Amino acid sequence: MVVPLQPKAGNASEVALAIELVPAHGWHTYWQNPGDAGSPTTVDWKLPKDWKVKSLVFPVPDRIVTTGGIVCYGYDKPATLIATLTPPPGFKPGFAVPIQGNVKWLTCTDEVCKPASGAFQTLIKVPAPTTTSWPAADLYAHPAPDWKASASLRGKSIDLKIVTPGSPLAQPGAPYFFSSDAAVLAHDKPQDFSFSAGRITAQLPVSPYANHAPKRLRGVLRAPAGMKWSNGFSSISLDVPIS
Amino acid sequence: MNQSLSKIGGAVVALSAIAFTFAGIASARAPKSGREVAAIGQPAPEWSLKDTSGETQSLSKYQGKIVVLEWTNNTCPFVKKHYNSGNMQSLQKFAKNHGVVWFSVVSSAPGAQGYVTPEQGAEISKEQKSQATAKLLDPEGEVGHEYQAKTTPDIMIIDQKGTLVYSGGIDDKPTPDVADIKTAHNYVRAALEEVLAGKPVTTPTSQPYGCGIKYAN
Repeated sequence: MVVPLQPKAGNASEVALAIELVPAHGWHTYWQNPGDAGSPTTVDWKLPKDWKVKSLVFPVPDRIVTTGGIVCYGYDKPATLIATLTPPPGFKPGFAVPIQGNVKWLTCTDEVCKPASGAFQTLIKVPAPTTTSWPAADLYAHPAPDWKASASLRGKSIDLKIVTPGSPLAQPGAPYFFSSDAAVLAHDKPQDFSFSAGRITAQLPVSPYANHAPKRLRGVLRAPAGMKWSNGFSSISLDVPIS
Repeated sequence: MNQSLSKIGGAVVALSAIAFTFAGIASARAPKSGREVAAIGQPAPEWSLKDTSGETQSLSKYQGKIVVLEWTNNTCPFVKKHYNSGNMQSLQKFAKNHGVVWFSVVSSAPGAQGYVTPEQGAEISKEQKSQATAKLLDPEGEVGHEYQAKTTPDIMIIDQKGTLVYSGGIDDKPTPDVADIKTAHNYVRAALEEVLAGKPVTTPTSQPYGCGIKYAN
């Protein structure tokens, strides 16, 4: 299901589309990095001249572990991807634009995988005259501008250090870092975190499929189940150079 | 900050004084005790499995030869991509023409997608016009776990000295779309060409892609 979302103040010419995937019971779809198996959901766009896809944002995934111990990143529940499209410079709001796309996804159970796709075609007046509200912000990762993160490669692990204003978590628990790139972190090995006042440190295992020393650590740091980071979000997006 | 902090009051003070350490929630599959696990640049562990004709095959039987292991599941969309297009068979043919031994390996558990009896396995290979040397049956998943095979297809190359020199995806386009084959860089063909020329493998590993192998445990 694809629906335009209420335009955001200050970005009246941008078009935001919610793409909702609802897996049947027992099935799952995949994040942008699907983990050790699977395939990410993608969209082939057909946009009017000079319109651009600014971003396709996935909600924070879960770890899905199969009987054989294969670790995937994805969703065993409905997931809404948000696509943001930008008009060419000089575009005057008030016109309707034709937007076409073909969403392709893979859905699997523990035993079976099936590819699927769905095309959509819509004429959207800009700004979109809709009141459809955005999905809950906490389903997505957010930058934490006042967190200072650094990463370094040490042997077979990446040491991640984050300096936070105050204690990052109200109480202890096990967070998880989802690498948004394949072949950077091992998806199926333990991640070790420790906390102290104003500091998170982690040893993250390097992927056995990495050919070169990874240059950047990009992804989502999810708080322990049921908890939020001290800045009020469940998940923080990180993009850190690795020294 | 700080709704969550205010809720727990005095505990914040305690937190600031003590550092906590946690093991992550992930746990790696531990190989059976004492057992080797395949690693790039290391001797490939020995295995012994029955093929679809009932013959026992083993790595040591092919000492001095280049051996390819290709994990397969005939109903997986990613496997279909490479067999329906003829891409896998042409790679197998290239291997065969150069004296490379190619085993397709089925590690699906009985009842799971891709599991085959010896007769079914042989029939599928025939229908696919597979050019592999043989198809091996690994219903317990022992060899799959030993080689840490994750997906179908997941491909490994063992050189003439018995060293694991490639482990990963067939190419760099991790999709189930046949259309992507013609623009993909085939890591396996490139690695085989280098091994045959006596050169080191430029890209010895890549993230394997496809359907997760439907292991028994």
